[in-house]
Amino acid sequence: MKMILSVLCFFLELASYAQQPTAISRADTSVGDIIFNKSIDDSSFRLCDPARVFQYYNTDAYFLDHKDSFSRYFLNSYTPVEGQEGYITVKFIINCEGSTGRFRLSEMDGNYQPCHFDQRISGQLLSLVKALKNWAPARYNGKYFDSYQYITFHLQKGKIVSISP
Amino acid sequence: MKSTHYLAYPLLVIWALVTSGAFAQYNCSIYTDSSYARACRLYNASDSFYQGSPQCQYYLDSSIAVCPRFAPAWHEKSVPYLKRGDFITWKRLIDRAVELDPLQFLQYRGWCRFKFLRDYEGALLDLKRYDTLTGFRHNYSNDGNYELHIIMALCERELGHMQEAWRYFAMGIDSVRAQGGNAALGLYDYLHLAVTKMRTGDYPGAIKALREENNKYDKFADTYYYLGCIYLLTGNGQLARQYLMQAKALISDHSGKYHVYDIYCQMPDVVYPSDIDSALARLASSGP
Repeated sequence: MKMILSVLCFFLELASYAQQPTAISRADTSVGDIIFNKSIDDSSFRLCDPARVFQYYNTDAYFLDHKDSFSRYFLNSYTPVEGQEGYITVKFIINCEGSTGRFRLSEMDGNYQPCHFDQRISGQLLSLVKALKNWAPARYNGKYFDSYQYITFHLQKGKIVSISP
Repeated sequence: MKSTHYLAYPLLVIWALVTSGAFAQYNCSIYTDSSYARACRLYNASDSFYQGSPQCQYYLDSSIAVCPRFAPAWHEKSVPYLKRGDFITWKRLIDRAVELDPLQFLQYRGWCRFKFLRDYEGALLDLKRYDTLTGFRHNYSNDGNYELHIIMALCERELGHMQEAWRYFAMGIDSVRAQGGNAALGLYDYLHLAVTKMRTGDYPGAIKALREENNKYDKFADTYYYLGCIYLLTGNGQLARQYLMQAKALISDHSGKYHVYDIYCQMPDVVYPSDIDSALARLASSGP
């Protein structure tokens, strides 16, 4: 009886919060979702199942499994630009056919504050990520899925000092 | 209009409570302050939903709204941002959790700065402060794989501060071993120590550490790779081949159990098949 009362109280408590939508609003998307933006995204890039886009860590990640070759590619291809320090993250979707799209760029300084890098740095890194082809899609139970991937570049004195994840 | 949708979530929570039994995460009865207790219950309710989903974040936001001083909700809300590469938002949220409860979340923030961002200086700031707060006790990373002094040693190593690195390795290995025996050591401690010794040219010390690593777990391809590399560097081609081939066999096993791996990030000192192939090629070109 006590447990039933507790459950009922809990229900009423939650319902009371639910009736205050002005205080707390619920997002329509999950954290980190990349919504199609016709002004910047390639409309020919299609998701196989827009309702179910995995995170890279939900399955074996092609990037992590081949990070050695990805790192070599970036370090060999990037032309250092003297000056800025911080982190540039390129996030994107790998669809179930291994194509990439919906690229988003995020830039922050060493104190984790938003900043803007010289276009010669950020634009160059974005182009290098976009140029990568033939990704292996996320695979689960023998089926292929769309998935999110991000690549973060840590820059010091204009050079890439580390690549994450 | 939206509030009617929200009413469905408590029903889902109760359904999850009844069917999964996975409800309790924190014991909310320990809180005597009613706002903490209510925030705690909302926090626990968020666990019924997929991390980072609108429903999950909604419950965490509700928890924070009810009691903004309930640190676990700030932490839990931050986690999906970290895992999905939004470090600006992650840092803003985890900073609040650390501010409210440094003993619980400071070491976590330091560990994440090390693991996800290779922010060695930032990680050290957090871990040194935590070390002082806890009276230099032995504590472990949230994934359980690392005694925190090992993380500090790796940060110092990457910053080129070798004396500090050795000091932290001693605290993370020798001191832990003295207190709790080999079982208390982290899974990769000796491997990292060995790589550090190898980088400084102490090959006998590195071999000794790699043998200790094998006593902990004798099927890491990474361990055999570094043994092979040391014997290659010191001119013992026969042993180099033996260990490199052993590394190749282990890393080729598709179960993934036989090399250092983490689902979120590349860990320090990990070895890839291409590293082993390169070492074998160097061995082949070095002659009989």
